[in-house]
Amino acid sequence: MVIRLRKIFAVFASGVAALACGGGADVDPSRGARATDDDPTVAAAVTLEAREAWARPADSGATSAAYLVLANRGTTADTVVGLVTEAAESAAVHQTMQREGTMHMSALPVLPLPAGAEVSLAPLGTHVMLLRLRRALRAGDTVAIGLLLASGDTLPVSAVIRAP
Amino acid sequence: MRPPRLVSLLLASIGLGLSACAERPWHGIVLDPPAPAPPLAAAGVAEEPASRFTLAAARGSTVLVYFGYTHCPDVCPTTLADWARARRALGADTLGVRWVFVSVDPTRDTPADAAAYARQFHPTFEGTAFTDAELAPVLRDWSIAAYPEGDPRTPDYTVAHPAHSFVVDAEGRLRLMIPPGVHGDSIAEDLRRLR
Ligand SMILES: [Cu+2]
Repeated sequence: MVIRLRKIFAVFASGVAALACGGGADVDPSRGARATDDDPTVAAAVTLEAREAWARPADSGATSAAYLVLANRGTTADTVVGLVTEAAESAAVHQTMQREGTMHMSALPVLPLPAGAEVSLAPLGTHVMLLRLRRALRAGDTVAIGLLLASGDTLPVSAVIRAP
Repeated sequence: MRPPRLVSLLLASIGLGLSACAERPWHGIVLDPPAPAPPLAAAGVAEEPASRFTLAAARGSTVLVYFGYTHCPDVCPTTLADWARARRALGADTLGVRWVFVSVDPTRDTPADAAAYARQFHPTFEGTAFTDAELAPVLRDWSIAAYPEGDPRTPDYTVAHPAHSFVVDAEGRLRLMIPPGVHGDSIAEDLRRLR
């Protein structure tokens, strides 16, 4: 199913000011506010699909990760520049790397979405870090995540909580 | 940061392990010849709390050991979920296998935290943790690296930790290193073959 860009959810707009994401993927409140402006030309030019979104179960206060596939069906490149979610104090795009037998994670400041490309966020690779959860995530629940885009829009994603 | 010498040693032995079993490669990295596993217990503590896992007390069981941390959202859950799959795939053969999650995040994790985390993946999984002072000799003995990345005084720091699960056989010898991402069915296959 293709999710066309649309106006930011009220929950995201209200949460933006309270969210201070660490690790280089900070939310710009003005960006969130701008995304509430209806701009049909942008929505028509860029078509992003988010699918197979899921996140790991975790206790309140703990850390979880969300995964999804992003497909840019449009002819214009876009970039994820920030994240908002109602479920966590902070959210960031992270990259897992293995170096000399040791696993590391680091925040990606931006996540490019080239025109016509699919970007897969999957275990042991790129993921959405959900830090300091505001509530427990239990199997079967959903968590709402907004991907803030360089184009000024927000792509709303609903991730199902499930054990992998 | 120390270079992970054991890892280099074991990686060097991949070829050896594969050539010894050319007909069907292992999914894990074989340590051949096997070496005695380093101790996994708080050094200098005469009497371990009974609830705390020690390798010495696990002699007679095959033991899987993974060094991680409970705030680890990606690699650790992936590995422990693969362990849970392996355990299911083993069926009755799971008797005599112990699955131990060792926290290398002394700032945030207590032994109880580590145990609760491990149990989320399977009720039989065990967990343990060390204090900062106890952890240093464990890392040294195992020749592994684990350290905070980011400011450990803030809540969102991450912890660099070993990528592989270690498999210790019933005689207390280190036999296999299982890389992250190896499917549970493959782990089960290796464990069956080890026994
Ligand atoms: Cu992460």
